[in-house]
Amino acid sequence: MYNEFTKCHPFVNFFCFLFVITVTVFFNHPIITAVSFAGAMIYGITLLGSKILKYFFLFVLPLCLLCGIFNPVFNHQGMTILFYFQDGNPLTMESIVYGGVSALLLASVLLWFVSFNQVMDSDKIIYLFGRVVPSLATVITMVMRLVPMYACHFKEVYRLRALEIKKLNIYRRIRISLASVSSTTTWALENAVFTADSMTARGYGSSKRSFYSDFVFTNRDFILLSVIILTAAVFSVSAVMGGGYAMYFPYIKMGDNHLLNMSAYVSFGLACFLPVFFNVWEELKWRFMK
Amino acid sequence: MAVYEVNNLTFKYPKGKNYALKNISFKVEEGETVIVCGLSGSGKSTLLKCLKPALVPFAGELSGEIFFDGTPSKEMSNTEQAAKIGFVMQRPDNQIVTHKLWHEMAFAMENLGFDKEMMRLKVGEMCSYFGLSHLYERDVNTLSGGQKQLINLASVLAADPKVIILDEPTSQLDPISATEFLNVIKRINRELGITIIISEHRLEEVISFADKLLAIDKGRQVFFGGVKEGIKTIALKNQELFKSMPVGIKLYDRYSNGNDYPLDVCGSRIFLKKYTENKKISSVVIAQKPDREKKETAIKCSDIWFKYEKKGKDIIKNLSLEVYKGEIFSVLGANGSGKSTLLKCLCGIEKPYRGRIKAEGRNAAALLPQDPALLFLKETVIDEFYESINKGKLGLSGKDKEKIEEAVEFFKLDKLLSMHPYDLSGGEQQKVALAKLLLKNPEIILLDEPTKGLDFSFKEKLQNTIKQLAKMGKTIIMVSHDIDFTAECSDRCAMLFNGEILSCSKPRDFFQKNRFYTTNASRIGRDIIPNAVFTDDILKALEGIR
Repeated sequence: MYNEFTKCHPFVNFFCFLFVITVTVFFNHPIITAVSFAGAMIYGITLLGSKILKYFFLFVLPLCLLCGIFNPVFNHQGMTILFYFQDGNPLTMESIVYGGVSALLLASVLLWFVSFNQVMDSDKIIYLFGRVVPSLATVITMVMRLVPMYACHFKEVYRLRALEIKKLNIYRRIRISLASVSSTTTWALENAVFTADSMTARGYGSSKRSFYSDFVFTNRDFILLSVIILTAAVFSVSAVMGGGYAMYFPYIKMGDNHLLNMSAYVSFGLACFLPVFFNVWEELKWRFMK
Repeated sequence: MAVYEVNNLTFKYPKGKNYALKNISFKVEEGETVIVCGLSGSGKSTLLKCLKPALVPFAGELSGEIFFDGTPSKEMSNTEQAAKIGFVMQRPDNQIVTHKLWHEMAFAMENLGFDKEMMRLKVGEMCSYFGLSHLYERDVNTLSGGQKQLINLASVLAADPKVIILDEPTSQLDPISATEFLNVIKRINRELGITIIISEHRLEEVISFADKLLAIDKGRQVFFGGVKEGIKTIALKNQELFKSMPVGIKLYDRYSNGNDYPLDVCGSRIFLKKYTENKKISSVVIAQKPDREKKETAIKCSDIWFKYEKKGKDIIKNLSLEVYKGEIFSVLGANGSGKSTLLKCLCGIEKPYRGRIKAEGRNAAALLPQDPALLFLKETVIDEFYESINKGKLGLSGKDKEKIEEAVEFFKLDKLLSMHPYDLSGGEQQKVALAKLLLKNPEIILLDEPTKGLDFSFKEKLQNTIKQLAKMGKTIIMVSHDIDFTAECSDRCAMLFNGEILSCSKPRDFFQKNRFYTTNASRIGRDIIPNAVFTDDILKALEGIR
């Protein structure tokens, strides 16, 4: 599917994810969690297709099942006792529900982070940091350059060493690895001298640093960001007044003001599905133009 | 007003016994290209660093005057000199700071506090001018050495410098990228009027467009002035340095008394044609070495195929190769033709997915990688040798000691034993690495681009070493871009293209067939002196008609 949301300004991407992920983590209300899960799953599919399903079934689902099962086994709070285990501990209905919601919550957060990694590439992260602390942005970009470079050097040294040794057992492998690490370190320090020279030569630290980026904040970004801020505001107000509230122990209790609850669900749902809505909108626009 | 005016520049490193530079004086006018030549260790790099105040080696003693644009260079502010004096160093990799091409291009401008609109314009301009637009969003790690060096240049240029100083910028590049890079240098000089000060091993490519020549030897100034006069002076005064001059210049120097030196192949051909006009040239007599009857096979590949990923492209396709014992075998080919991969297969780092490689015994082959530093693990050279025979200093038997002493003597390393391997020059590093490999007593030695970054005199030494090793019965297989070097020292050459070996024969036959991919001597002598491949061929033929 057409992924226009990825091309939006980093602020839009970042605040959307920030809002959605924060709420998902801190509100363990079943409906909010379910909405978040649906949003994460559908957006994940539009971004990565079947890859996300593979990730979900092979990694996320087993982990969440484990979490859902272990919670009632070890958590014995709650009033509604279903039966007693052999060791005399009770199994309660509340802990089962709580386990289920927590499992769903975990799944949503994991899925959101998949999309987050996909959308927020290194350029965007550096841009966000660069706006706040320019020198931190330099450090990040240097790390992103140097780590793969060192890893590559290490691998070459290791393989050349491994060639000379006839039988590779674990002990020898560790020894070669250590020697290669030390050699890579020396090499890295040696290189750093030149890098430092090259930085001074190009005036690093000589005056106040500015920040280069390709991102332009357009009207479209303004509208999207406004929507995100608006939904966040509506959600916050409803939440403070008691919307989307849920308690599991000792008995299950949820916020009962219908209006407040609905405004919390709708505003949060809008933010969760914003990337998908936006992509569909752009897709339709494109189709009608052709 | 001169861009640079240097008077009696003298420099001494903090712990150095001798002066690294002594009484250097010269004057560079705006828009000139100045080539700085000298052998390794003559003080070229030190001189160039002294020209940029921010890079003057720490705690050294600097005396004499350096004026940049009329003001003493010491008085320039950091911002000013970062913008006005661009500096490009040898190794493309360790000058790059950021991980994306666009960011690297903007790095210098960011440091100088340019505003965003200005930077965007400049980066766009640079990318268009250098033809880097298609790489704009690429990770730096995925680029080739030539492209990396081009980014380094572009990043420096973006700050709008008046002069660019380049310290052997192409020593780590293959010949094709090097030529491209130097063409860009020529272009920015001719089209933008930027002053260039460059030190370079590949004299044949720079000398044709340089205006001035500065020759230094052991820190002393040999000559400064026009290029052709400079060559004449070097020819008279400093034979060692003159050896590194291009073939055409050497021929001219020998057979003519003037100083109108031909600076490129075309000029050399014109001179040669004139000189040989109306004279009968006997074809070069080739003393064919008799083939030894019984050849023992050292390593044999039959129909090997290799690729890095299952769905990837085949890097080596159906390659068969037989190398004999005591032979020097060279594989030539362009970037990405699979040369280095072939070596990796031969030494066992990679395994072909089809076909077989048969060598005498496992680990018969030892690889000397492009960057010899990959083999260094210890603090001193002698420790490297101990490590190589897998014993500490105490566990050495008399035999081991003898072995090390032998290696030290063979490579003449006695003065370097207590030094840190990283403190050695490129050529010395290579010798130490080679010695380290030999202590393992391999039958086959694989060399990956052995001449990379070496100057002429080191190349000559390396050539002798390789020949000696072959005489001792070692088999040597090397891959290289360096056509002249491989032509001089191999027994057989092979051309690798697109993962296949296209032709394989003795260097003389090999290079005679080629029109483009051949030695400089063969280019100069083609159609004028039949069958000439080496410089010696031309010299002999001319000797015959004298």
